[in-house]
Amino acid sequence: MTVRAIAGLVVLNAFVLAVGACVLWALRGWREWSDFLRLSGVAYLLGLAALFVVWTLELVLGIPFGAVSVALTGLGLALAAIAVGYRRGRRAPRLGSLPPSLVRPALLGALVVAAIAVYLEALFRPGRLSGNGWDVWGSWLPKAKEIYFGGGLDAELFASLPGPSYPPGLPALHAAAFHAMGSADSATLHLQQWFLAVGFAAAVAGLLARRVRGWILLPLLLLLLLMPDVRNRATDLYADVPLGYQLAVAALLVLLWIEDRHAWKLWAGTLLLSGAMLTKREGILFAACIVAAALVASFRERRSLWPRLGVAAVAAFALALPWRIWFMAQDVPSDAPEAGYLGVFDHLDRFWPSIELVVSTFFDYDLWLLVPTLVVAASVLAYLGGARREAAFALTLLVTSLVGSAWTYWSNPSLEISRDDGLVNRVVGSPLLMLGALLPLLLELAWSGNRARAAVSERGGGSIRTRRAALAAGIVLVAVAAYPAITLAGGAPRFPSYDDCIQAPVAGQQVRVVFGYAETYPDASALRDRAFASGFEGTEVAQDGCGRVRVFLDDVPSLAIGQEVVEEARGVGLDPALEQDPDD
Amino acid sequence: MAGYRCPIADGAGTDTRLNDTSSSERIRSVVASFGEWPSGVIRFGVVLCVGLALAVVIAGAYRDALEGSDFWADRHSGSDYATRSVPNETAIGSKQVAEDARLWMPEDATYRIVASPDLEGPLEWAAPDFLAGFLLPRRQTDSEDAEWVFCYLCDTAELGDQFETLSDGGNGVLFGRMRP
Repeated sequence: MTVRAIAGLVVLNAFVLAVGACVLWALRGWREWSDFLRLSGVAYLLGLAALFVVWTLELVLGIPFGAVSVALTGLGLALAAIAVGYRRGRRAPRLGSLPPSLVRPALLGALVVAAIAVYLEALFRPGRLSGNGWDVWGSWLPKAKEIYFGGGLDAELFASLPGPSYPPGLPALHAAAFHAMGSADSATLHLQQWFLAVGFAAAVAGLLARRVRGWILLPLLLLLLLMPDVRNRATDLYADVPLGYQLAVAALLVLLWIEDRHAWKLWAGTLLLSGAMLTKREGILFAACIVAAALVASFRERRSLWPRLGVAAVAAFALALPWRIWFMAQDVPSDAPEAGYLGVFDHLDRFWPSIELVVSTFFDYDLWLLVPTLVVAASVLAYLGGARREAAFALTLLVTSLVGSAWTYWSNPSLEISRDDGLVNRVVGSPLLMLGALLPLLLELAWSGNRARAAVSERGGGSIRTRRAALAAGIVLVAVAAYPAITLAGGAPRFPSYDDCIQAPVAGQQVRVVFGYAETYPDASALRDRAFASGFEGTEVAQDGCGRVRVFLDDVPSLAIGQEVVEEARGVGLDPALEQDPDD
Repeated sequence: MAGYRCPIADGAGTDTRLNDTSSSERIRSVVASFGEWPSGVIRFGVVLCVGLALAVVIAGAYRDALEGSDFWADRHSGSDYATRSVPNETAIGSKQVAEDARLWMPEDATYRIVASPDLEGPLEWAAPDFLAGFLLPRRQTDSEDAEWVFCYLCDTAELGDQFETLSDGGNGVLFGRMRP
């Protein structure tokens, strides 16, 4: 809850980005830094997924998890990626020119970019001091704290918690965040999820910036980010939204690979699918949906594409396999459905209600605005426009992920088929993010008649263009600066501290003499015993309400008497202070 | 069906000729093309989709998002230590007792939970997990040798004379230690 904790998170996420940049350079390389700027969101998510994979392997192998191991792991990944990059003939990038979208901006685009930036700023504020949700206390936080304090996996603890075999990717990230913040500060930890949201928005925008015209891409990206259920959960500490981010960018990369066969997209998608599988058990289910959609979409090119897809799917699963081996070896309860994989047929009565529940939730405007409806419309338009592969991909992903979501209910009889607990929103959120990320591409293909939009040529800029660029940049900068300025004008941000529980004495009211504060009751008791021994009978110890123990003499009738007591105490070597007695 | 050319430029189009025309001419050209079947109708559908997205954003979704963020930011900022940092009472029975336990136990302590056989609901199935999450690095154990004890509606007489109550939630939730 301190500036230092926030600064620690900034450093950690810059570190994740740097690792991901090296991985992206190995997979793709980039000629100019502007290329990297455009793909920085993808790089960030790749860094995250790569770290999830290696952290999980280290935890499974029993390598102690700590600040040093986190740093060395990142360094090792970065060096390995750089070595692979050089081996593959990648060259150091040059400065080059600005991305065309920056050189030739549209004013509408600038307004929407400004709106997205302000929205992300706004999302930061509630995350900073948030409390923890139910399953966060009950499952995610104990795992993260165990990795942070214990430096590894405790099979007994994991087995005792809900979701015992849920993978450790996110808890490991949270443990790394604790190290970066300097303490297990679960309130500030919510901001870690904010960085993921920024990375996701940047990744979708960067991947589609050259493929989709701005007036299609930006409003739909904004709509995607504003989906009420996603924004409500964007900074909670559950794994559902981070899972959705990784799956969404993976789905987009796989579809773009089917279009242009650039191998880096398939391998980047593969790594993200592994990251998703190590984020939550549904990662495997939805990864299978993405692979199924890719198989259907590439049916005509099956001879050349299916083998590569198969290798990618196996590789994605293999990278997540160490965790599965570990939890099975440790007899941690499995993540298989309660009814078993075939036992679902004993519960056929749940099949249709599960489908109804998932479909009705999926198309709920209050949760997702128009996104699901637009996905269906865009798929149909893309199909009519000749983009049949892409439409087939989207529609197959839609159907399989909905059936898959329903299967989670159908196959777990203990789950109540109801929307009351909000669980179904969390399950359906990933398909929504996956399909929502495809939406701009589908509409672009519909608009342009299935012609991939060529990279924009960089023609020389005239004075009008320069003025437009300056105006667009001005709009974004003013908006980005204005929001915090307006917010700060309403008062400086609050950083909770121990001082919140100290009230200055007020003349005419009862006061209390506080002999000191301690971090524990035993320390406080020792101080109280000293006060007792000095004749201050009636000295008490109690929680101060801010995480410490107060040692105090209560109900002192006036400030003057309190000052006399303070003088007396100082005479025997104690160092008390006067505070207002709020019981007065 | 797929052979038409996009006549609109968003400032980043690829058609030099069209980029040289004025914006209003380009828009007129686009609107005129909406009558073509099927390409124009598809393009109209795309414009409709983007327009609807923008309408939803402008009509309230964006304002709701900013107002929602403000509301939660204020609420979180105004919440106290116990609200933010201690699990809720539905799960653990008493914030006061749980916080007392954290302040009593050293970080290498082990504690056990003794519950009445009649205990049911969240206190029965959630309290152990929530206390684990809150109290780590202190360890939960089933061992009767544990020095520290939570009692959930338990019979303290069964814990023996050695049990010293250190915190009492007043609702059957106690925390204490076993004196040597």
